[in-house]
Formats: sequence, C-alpha cells, structure tokens
Amino acid sequence: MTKVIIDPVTRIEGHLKVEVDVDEVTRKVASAKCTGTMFRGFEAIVLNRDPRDCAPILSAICGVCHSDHHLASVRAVENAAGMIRYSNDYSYEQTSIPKNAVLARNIVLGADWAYSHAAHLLVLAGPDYSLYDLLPALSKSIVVTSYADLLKWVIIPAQAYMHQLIALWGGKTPHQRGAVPGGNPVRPTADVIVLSKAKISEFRKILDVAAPVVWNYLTSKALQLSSLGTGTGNFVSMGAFQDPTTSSGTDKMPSILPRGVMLYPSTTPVPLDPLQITEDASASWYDQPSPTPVIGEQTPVPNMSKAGAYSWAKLPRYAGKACEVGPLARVYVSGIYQKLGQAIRGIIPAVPGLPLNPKGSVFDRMAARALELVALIGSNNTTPDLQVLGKPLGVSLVDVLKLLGLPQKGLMEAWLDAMDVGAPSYAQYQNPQDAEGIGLWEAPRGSLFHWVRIRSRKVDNYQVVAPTTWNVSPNGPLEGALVGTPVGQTGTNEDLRPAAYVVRSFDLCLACTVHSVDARGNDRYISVGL
Amino acid sequence: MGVSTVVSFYAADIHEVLAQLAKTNGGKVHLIWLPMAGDTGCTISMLQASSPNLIGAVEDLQVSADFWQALMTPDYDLGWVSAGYTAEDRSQVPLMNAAFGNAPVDVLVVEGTPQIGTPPGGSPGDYCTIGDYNGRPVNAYEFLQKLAAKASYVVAVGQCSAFGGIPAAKGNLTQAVPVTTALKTAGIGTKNPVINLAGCPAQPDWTLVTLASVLQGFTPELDELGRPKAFFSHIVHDGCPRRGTYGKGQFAQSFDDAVGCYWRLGCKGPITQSSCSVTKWNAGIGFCTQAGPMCWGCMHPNFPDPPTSPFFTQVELVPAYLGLSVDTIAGAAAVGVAVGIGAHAVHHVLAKKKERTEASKGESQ
Repeated sequence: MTKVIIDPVTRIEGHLKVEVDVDEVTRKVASAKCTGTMFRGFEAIVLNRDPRDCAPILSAICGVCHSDHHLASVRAVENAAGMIRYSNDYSYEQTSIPKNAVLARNIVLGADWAYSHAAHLLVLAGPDYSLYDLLPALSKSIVVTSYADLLKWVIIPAQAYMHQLIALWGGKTPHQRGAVPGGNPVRPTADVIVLSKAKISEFRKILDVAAPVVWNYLTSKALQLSSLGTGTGNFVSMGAFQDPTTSSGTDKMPSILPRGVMLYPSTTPVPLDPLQITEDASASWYDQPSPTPVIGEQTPVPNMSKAGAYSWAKLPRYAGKACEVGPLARVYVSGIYQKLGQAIRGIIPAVPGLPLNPKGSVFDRMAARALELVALIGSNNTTPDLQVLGKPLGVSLVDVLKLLGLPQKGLMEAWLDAMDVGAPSYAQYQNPQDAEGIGLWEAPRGSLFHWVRIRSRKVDNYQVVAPTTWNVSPNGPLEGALVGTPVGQTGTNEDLRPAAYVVRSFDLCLACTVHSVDARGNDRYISVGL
Repeated sequence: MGVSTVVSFYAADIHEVLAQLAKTNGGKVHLIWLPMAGDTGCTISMLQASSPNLIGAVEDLQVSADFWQALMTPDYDLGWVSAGYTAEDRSQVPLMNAAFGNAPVDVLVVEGTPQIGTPPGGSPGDYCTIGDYNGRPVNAYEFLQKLAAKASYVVAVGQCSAFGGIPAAKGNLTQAVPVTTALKTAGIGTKNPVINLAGCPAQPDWTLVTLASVLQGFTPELDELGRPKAFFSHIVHDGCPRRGTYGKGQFAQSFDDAVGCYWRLGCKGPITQSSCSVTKWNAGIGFCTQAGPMCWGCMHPNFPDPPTSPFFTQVELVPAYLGLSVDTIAGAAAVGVAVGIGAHAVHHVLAKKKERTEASKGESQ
C-alpha cells in the first residue's frame, strides 16, 4: 500500500488535504481521507447578537459563494419572525416580503452562481481537462492565442460582469449585504434593470461561444468520466430560487430548483425534513456526542487530541446517510437532468439517459454545472453544433433550452422582466421576542442550512451546515468517490490526474466547511500540482 | 487613480526598481499570498480589479506571485515557471521554500486573520495549518512569523488581517488577532511598517495601487492605523447619495423610505473612514449606500463589534459630540443650513480626532 498525500489542494476555495492509500496490485485508490484544517467558530461569534446582525457576519463564512450564507441567514431570521412560512412539507413558501425582493434575491444569487460555475468550469477545473487544448476552437470567435489571453480577455471579464450585476443590486461585491430581514430595500428602477440586462447580455455572448466547446469536449469523454468518482447515490437539495410569478404570487411559491432528497437506490425524490439532518463528529476534532441533530446542537468544543479524529469538518448526514450536494443533486432532484437525458436519447438512441452514473460521477457533476449555467443565463446561439460522445446532436443551445421548457433569455432575465418597476422591495420587519427559524438555500456548491434560535430578541443558538461539509468530511461522498480511482506509476503528477478530476468535480469550498489543510508525509510524499 | 495610471506615471521608476531587483533577486519581485483564517473573499475581490484587471496588473508589474493557492493554474504562469518551479511543485513547495529555504520574499500579502490560540491537544496557531515541512504540519501563524521577518513589505489585505475582522470578533474561540498584534506577540519585527488595507473585502483597485507602490520600493503615506491615507481619509457618509437629506435633518424611518438618511436605521457611514463613496466598487458601479441598505462599517477598525454593531441601531455618539440629539437636529430642520453644516462637522471631528468640543463650536458657527 502506498500513501499519497496531496496538500494543499490548489485551485479550490480554502485548505484541503487529501490522503489516499493506493493498492500496489490494482493501482487503484483503496481508501481515502480528506482533512479540513481551519477552524474559525462562526456559530460562537454570532451568539447574543441582534438576529439581524447574523447575516452580515455569516456572509464571511465564504468569500467565494459570497452572497449565499448572507441570504440563508436572512431567510432563517425571516422564518423566525414569521415573514417566511414553509408549507407542504417544505415544498412551498409563503412570504410577506414583496415580490420585488424575492426577485432581487434571485437575481443577485443567480449572478453569484453564474460567476462561480463559470469560474469552476474554466479556471478551477478547466486546467485538469487541458482547457488550453480548446483554445483553437475558442479562438474562432474570440481573439485569444494563449491561456493568459483567455484569462485576461475572457474569463476575468466574464466573472466581473456577474459581480457588477450584483453590485447594481447590493452596492458592492464580494460581500454584498443588500438583503436584510424584510426584503432588499432598493426599489427596482428602469435604469438598473436595463444595466443588469446589459451585464447578462455581455456574459451570454461569452457563454454562447464557450459553452458548446466545453460541452462537446466533456461529452466526448463522457464514458471515461462517468466511471470516475462514483458518489453515494444519496442526494440532498434544499431548494433555490423561489418563484413569485405563479398565480399564487408570494402566497405559495415553489422553488424553481425544488427541495427534496433522493436516497439510493430510490431515484424518486421525497420532501426534505430538517429534523433528519444530523452532524457526526466522531472523526472530527470536537468533543460532542455523535450524531447530534443540527436543530438544537450546541457550539463545538475543539479538541485536537481526540482519539480517531483527523479533521475540523463534521459529517452532516440525512436520515443517517452521507449525501452528496451540489449542482448534480439539484438538477437530479428537480428532474430536469433526466429530461435532458431523454431529449438526447430521443436524438441518439444509443446514448443512455442522464445521469450516466446513477450514483453520480465526475461527468455528471460537470454536466449538471454547465446545465445550470445555461439555464440561468440563456442563449442566443442557434448553431446546431452540439455533440454527445463526439456524435452530432444536430441541436443548438437555444434548442436545448426549448426542449427543457426553459426561457431562451434565461431565468435571470426573466426575473428582471417580472419586476414591478418602482414598487416596494421591503416590508417592515421586527425582531421576534422568542422564536426559531430555518433558512434553506442552495449555494453554487450545494445545500445551505441555517438555523437560529432567538431568546429575548437575541441570538441564543445558531447552527450552519455548509455544502462542502456534506461532500468532503470524514466518510463523506468525496472520500468514497476517490476509492477505485486509478493511479499511474510514472512518478509525475499525471499519475493523479484522475484523482484530480474526482476531487475538483465537487467544486470544493473549504472555508465553508471549516478548515485548512495539512499534510503529514508518511510512506511516500508526492507534492502534486493539483 | 487606477493602478494603470500609477504604473504609467511611475513607469521609469518601476523600471529602475525592477532593474535593481533583477540584480539581487534574479529578475522578479517575489510575492507570497498567505491564506490565514479567511474566506478567500479578498482573492475573489482581486479578480474584480478593473483598470487594469489582475492579469494585466501582473504583467505590468512584472511580479512573480510564487504562492497564491486559490489561483495557481498550471497553464498560466503567475510567476512559478519564471521562478523555476515545475508543475509538480505547484502545491506547497514555493511556500515552503519561501518560509524555510532561500527563496526570496519581497512582498508578503496576508489574507485572513492570524489565530494565535492553542486548540486543546494542539500547538499555538493550530486552528489553521497549511502543508507539511519535514514531516511536521506547519500552521499559518508560523508561516506568518517566518515570512514577515523575511519580507521587505508586509501588506495586510482585508479586514481580517488588518484589524482582525469577523474571525476576531467578540465570542471567537481561536484568539484571532490582527497581523500587527500577532507579530508583536511573537516578537517579530518587520523591515517596513505593516500596511493595513481594511475592508470586507479589501477594495481591489486600492490593493493594486498599494502593491504597485511597494513593488516600486516605497511605502505609501500611512495614517496612525497603518492605512494608506489616500484611501482612508474620506468619510463614507460624505459621498452618500442621501447625504443631502441628512443636512436637512431628514431621516428615513423605514428602509423603504425613498427620502431620508439611513443613520437612524443604523447606517455606519458617518463613523467609517474609507474612499468607498469616492472610487466606488466593481468598476465604479456603486457602493453600499448607493445600492444597498446602508454602510455596515466593514472598514471601521472595530467591525463587526461596537460601534459598528448592532448594525441596525443608530450610532448614538455622533450627535452627542455636538451637544445635539438626533431629534434636536430633525426638529431644527427648519433652521436648515446651519444645522446641516453643524452635523456635517461631526464627521470631520470624528475623522480628524480633534478636540471634540472645540471643533464643534468652531465649525458649527
């Protein structure tokens, strides 16, 4: 058995150490251990504060998904104050905040997702897939001759457009703090809506060129990538983008990406039950009984000398099971991913449906991320050059959106069009005396769960379960996904390229999870340029 | 002034400085971006720099960012290739060489808060570790000590490293402290004063200008808190779109009020020094009181503790300096201009830290 340590894993948010044992005979990963090694203790920092003060503080749990923790916290406090009520087993929401505020939040968070997904596909994971090789294809429409050009003229400006869009609604970003309990105070004006559309339009032009190239490349390697990084088959989605534009208005809003849970081998989602969420700290550097229901859980007590512990990350479980969260979980639970699979199969019968790997895989995670990106931004690309497995599908990006019943202009522009210009975007809020609230949201990387208990108008207890914690923590989906991954023996970091695909397919964000990374070189140390 | 202006303005100087560095350091200015207890928001903020963008600035400034964990892409040389590192090295090797070996460190940028506390069963600083040296995990606090002692310039980018920020707020369990406090505790001196770029996150254009400045070999003029005066002498409130209503004593009662200053609702613009309302953010799109509920005081040294919080509570001290309550000011709105000027003076009193009573008397007359 050879031990390989990757530390720190670069081009992810935060600090992660990955340690794998490689079976010398099969040359495959036999077991894996992921360590998060930064602890900041946010839940202790917000105690005894005004409940409204949690959001601007907890926003800084993560500077990459910089708007998501903020909103999850605002929503938890609004739920405590009775301004958001969940109904039908958490499938719908009734809210007393104005429709404009619901839409403004969707727009800000949509931009946050779009930038994050694009950055992951092109900058963070892109290099693993030799994105550089795609330059000739990208150069057809964009003048780039080197990866530096691509960064400078395409990728950096694209993500900046999305940040500028957020700044139009939240003042500045990262860490816009535009949402407060009660709404998003800035009333929408015609000029801000027009400017917002301009930012989306600029981003869309880039996406229309890049998306088919990246999609065709990914799907040409689909068979290989779908056998890598097999997940648990358990998926959780907390739901994102509430829709106030149905006939029920803000009285009964569905989530456009619905909340629900799929536990293997079932592929039928069931409603989310927050009481089923627990955290297990048996392999984590904390003294606390395990597992503990998150609702009512106490602030952690650090202890690095605890026997058997190796990470600052705790393991969230749903109904006792380790679950995957993220784009794949969302589009799978929503059914839209399967719908895309059926559409493709209708054109090329030889192609199996989606997901290619029912338990999740590197391919499925990357494809799901790309699908969400196009759904949010929309497309003007009518060139029927999309492929699967290198075979022409004969459809364009616009055709795909039509097949899926999504607006061609994208969800974000649709939300802008649904706003009531000049109408209120804030309703008066008051701190409740004693109450509890749950904030459910989805960050680009997966499910966010915030829970607050208020006593005498102050925060008495607060718990956060962040996306990457589900994926990366001890005995979680990433560790399992690494098992069986082939490892080469050339002595270079190419040996670990498949492992890199697996690690990065989860689009990890370690600040959320709690950590930083360390490496303890054992039998053999490989410093890998992951 | 955008960084491109600085770069072109000082082009000759930069060339000269770089030429000197080329003799001593092998041609590049070496920068280490050390991630401590933070959220990578300042790195993401750097990607929002607008004139030029980050990649353009790296080219212009001839900087070699030997270690910048979040941005280390194998296909783009942010400095590693020219620094002699190979693809296999692009994990911890440049950081280890800088901290424990002979690799030069010209500029140390710190993002995130140093944590000097000792977790039960661990060593001081073990709440955050990065990589491994000779079989031993190394914590971020140790990296800070090694690298700060070696670097010509230490730049604390963002509220966390400059003033402790959110990880160091009341209730924290990890003894999180500002870079200056951590270095003092460890008995480490620096070659030049630590430059504190406050903000959650740091404003990227200001950061690039500051880095351009130190890369040329000089420290920008700093205030008593170690902040470049160029970016921390204004009062946010003074550039607020609602500033005029404040002067008239009009105060919003609800966030939905179209007219009126948000001071009563908790806006911290009146007590926060920064150029947010001058340079704005995200390519000049806006700042917090322009398209958001209010200023949260994220550049105030005490953020997120009092007086910046409770965030939704008005800062009581401000009118007290003038001997006026908010109600007095509002009630005196008819008197108008004089009161407006008086109220305005408050902020300059706070900013300049003059003798309070004297200033209020003098400026409100």
